[in-house]
Amino acid sequence: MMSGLSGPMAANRPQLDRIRGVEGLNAELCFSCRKCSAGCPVADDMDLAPHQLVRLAVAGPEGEALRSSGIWLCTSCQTCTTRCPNGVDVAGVIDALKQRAVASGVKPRDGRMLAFHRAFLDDVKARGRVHEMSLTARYALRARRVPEGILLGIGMFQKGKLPLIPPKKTATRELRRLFERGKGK
Amino acid sequence: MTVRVLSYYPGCSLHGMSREYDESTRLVYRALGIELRELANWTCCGASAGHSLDQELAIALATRNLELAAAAGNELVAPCAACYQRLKIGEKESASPVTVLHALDVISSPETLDRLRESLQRPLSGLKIVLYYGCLLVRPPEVTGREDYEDPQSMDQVMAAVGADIRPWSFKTDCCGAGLAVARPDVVRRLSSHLAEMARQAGADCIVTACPLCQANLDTRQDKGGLPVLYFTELLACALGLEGTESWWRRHMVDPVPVLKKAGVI
Repeated sequence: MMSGLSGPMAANRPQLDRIRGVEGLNAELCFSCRKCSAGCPVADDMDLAPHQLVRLAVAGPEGEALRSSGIWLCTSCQTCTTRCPNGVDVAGVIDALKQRAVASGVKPRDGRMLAFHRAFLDDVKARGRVHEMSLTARYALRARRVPEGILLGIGMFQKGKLPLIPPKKTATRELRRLFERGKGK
Repeated sequence: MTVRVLSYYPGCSLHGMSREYDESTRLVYRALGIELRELANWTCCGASAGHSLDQELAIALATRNLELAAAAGNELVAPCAACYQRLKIGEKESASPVTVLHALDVISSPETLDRLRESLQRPLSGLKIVLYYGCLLVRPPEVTGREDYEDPQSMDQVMAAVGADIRPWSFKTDCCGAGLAVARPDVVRRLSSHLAEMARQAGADCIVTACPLCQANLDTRQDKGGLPVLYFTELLACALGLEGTESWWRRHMVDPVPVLKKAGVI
């Protein structure tokens, strides 16, 4: 296990319920200065802010972090990672929490972003390149809802922004192998 | 005269809703003597869905494209900031021999800036702009290698070379909401509306971007509306007096034509 702590501090450390997948991201170096949450563009929309997610990633409880809707709101803007005074890869920690939540089958409180990410990768796997209209349709099916931006989408279509015909499929057999390589671990 | 040959990775958006970014990039690069060779069989970089759900898959999707570029033997240029960042991470993780560049990196090199100044037909001095770099072009600096990540300068240098009236503002690298647009448009609307309002307060006629996600979010989700959002390559095409720009303007949700006409850009 990689750790930024050693010596007496490590010996005194309480038992930690560290979440698998966050090793090597320096999460244990966090001293809760909250700079990550202060600079986060979506902290106000999150149930748990970035500094709280880092704390949970190090000390648990795992379930609380993985069920958070906050992890799915992260825009991956990398402001937190860039500004952390202790070199914690905060966005990386949040990615690890998302991946862990998916791997352990934890359902987020708000499933919209997870549905979108799944729809996106479905489209990549099926076509090689993403076709925006297909992606939106896949999202609607996965999230079981009419996308909020449907009227805007119609306006964009009328402007000629959204091509109706998808691009030709590219390297899909090769991509299927990439997608299936990690399965069954 | 061709002075440089590069492999080109347009990415999904530039073949979809952001074709004007693709067309303007190709046009401007050609005018500056830079040949773009699109990678045959390129596939999606995985974007934020990839690294949100499956780290290994995310790297594999980027690396696959770098292998195509390695076979072609040239540096690889991507105009989309999100593709650029994912490919840059792939470059690092796979120790790829290919150097990944953003479209802005190529134009802001000293020799290209000289060519830009020499080829200038129509200075943009009447156009008041703010420059919006967004997130993934600059962050994290360990990936992008940029030192000026809090106050980047490359787009400033490029737009100054064509004489634009650049207004200072503090929101160059604040987030627009990126890939949340479909599932959480409420969040994107809040972030993008704020950026547009700050641009207005800085006295800008329009916002200039270097990323299809930034452009789409700002163009479609301003509460008050009315501030055009342009790609830097579209304005460079105007400044260089290039033909074939007309079809781009009608694909913008906020019509940029009145602002561009008033400023004498078109």
